[in-house]
Amino acid sequence: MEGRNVEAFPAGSEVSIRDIKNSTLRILLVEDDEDYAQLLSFRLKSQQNPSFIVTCVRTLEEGLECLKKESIEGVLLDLSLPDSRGLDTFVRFYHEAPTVPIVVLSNYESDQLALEAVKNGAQDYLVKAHVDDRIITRVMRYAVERKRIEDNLREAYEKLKEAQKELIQSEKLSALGRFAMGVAHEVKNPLGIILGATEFLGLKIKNQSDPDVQTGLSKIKESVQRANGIIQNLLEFSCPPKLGKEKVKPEEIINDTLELLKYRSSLANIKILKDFTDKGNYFINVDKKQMEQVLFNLLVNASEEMTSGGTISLKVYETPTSLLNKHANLSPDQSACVIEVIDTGPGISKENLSKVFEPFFTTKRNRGGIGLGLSIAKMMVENHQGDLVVESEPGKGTRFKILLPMEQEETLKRR
Amino acid sequence: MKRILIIDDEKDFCYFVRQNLELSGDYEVRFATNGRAGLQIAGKFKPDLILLDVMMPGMNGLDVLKKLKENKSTLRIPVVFLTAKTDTETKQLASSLYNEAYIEKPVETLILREKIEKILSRFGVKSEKK
Repeated sequence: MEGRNVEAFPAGSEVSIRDIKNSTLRILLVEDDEDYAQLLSFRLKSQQNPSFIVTCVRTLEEGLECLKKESIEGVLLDLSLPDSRGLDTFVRFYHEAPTVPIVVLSNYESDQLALEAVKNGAQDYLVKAHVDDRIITRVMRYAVERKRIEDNLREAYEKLKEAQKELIQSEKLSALGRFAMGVAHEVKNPLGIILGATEFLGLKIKNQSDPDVQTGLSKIKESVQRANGIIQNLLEFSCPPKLGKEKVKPEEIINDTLELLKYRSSLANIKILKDFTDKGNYFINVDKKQMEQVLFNLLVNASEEMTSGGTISLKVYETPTSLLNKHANLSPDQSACVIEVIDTGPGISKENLSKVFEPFFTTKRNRGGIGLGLSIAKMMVENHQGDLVVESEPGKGTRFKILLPMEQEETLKRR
Repeated sequence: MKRILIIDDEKDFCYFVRQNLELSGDYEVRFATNGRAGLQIAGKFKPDLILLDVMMPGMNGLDVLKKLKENKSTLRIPVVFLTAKTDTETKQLASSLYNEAYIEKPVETLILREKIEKILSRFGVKSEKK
């Protein structure tokens, strides 16, 4: 920070006001005219309610540096500085510090300039010659207060927007739910007929040994099941089932899911490694079926990406939530149970990584995927006040983490 | 032969379920495509089990079930919902009534037969060859 006459007015110096009370405001004065800066500082420091702590600098650059280092509540900004002139001074300053109230100082009485400054975000515009004790105190006090109110309003507005977004999302989901149920009913009926007719044809011609006919029939049946699976996914996404929680060991969820996957062809070349660090000495309170579905989904996804084989490691451990990155649903004073699914597959590109949990995003469209599996899985974990996160790099495999909160009681029940 | 009655407004669905069950040789199957006809057939045919759709025009499956349970001659016939209706409310409502199971369409004949057999054996129904 460039200094000025140290004796008279050291750069960045703090002019403390005597008897500082709770109503003390920290003001930054950006003014290159030393005499005027001293005068203004004096005027401010002579005030008691509120009292002011004034930091003086003489250039725009010094002013911005000072903002980074000190907790400044208001700025008095001269528009004519050695490194910046005119309204541009304000625009540059405001761009760097939009949250701090700025009062513009100028030698010129210009309504147009004043209006422009205020339109661009300045709290007020003062002509130096007209500034006296009463005006400067009132203007700075009001500027800070107005900015506080503005910030509160902005915060309230942001909250309102967020609530509105959630409401719209929930309305959309509700509409999607009704739509999905209607579609499900209309599609499941013909699927029932197709399946019944296919089975009937199969029984009628079972003595005929034409393999093409049998293949054709079995393909129809598979397609019916696939279409039905898509409908089930849509229903689960739009009308999530209620949770039927029970106390269960995390490794029990893993073992039961692996049992379901035992005969799945995509897992034939995959080596499964289990690492239960905590040896399953605790319980979590979850809907076991839903958690199995989440894990099932992650395992099938991983195996389908490793067509030429590989390894999937399953890890379970308990960790304080504070050690995890911030996850909105997890309370910082709780422990979390982490179930990791780590594969040695091709990994996910940076572009796709941010979209994997988006509904209807899929890289497997040509293989029958509709892109609801992971968004449903995340929704299910979030419904348990947990989170599902992913880490991946192309060529380095993928790691999914199911984070589930552990109740105090569950932690205590460790055996 | 175990007697099965299907009540469902989807005629083609009824037809193929009947064909597939009858081809096994274990069942005699009839069907009705609306609730009223279903109740009439149930009274005369005396089925061992009824497969009942929920969403039908006119009298729906839940109404049919109530009527079946109000009638002494059909009171003890086990009823299985076989439906494309998937919402939780209907399932909960159905489970509060006297139905034995809730099966969602589409269902493979093998699975349907397993469920039917399980329920029939619980009700002590044995095959009587004609």
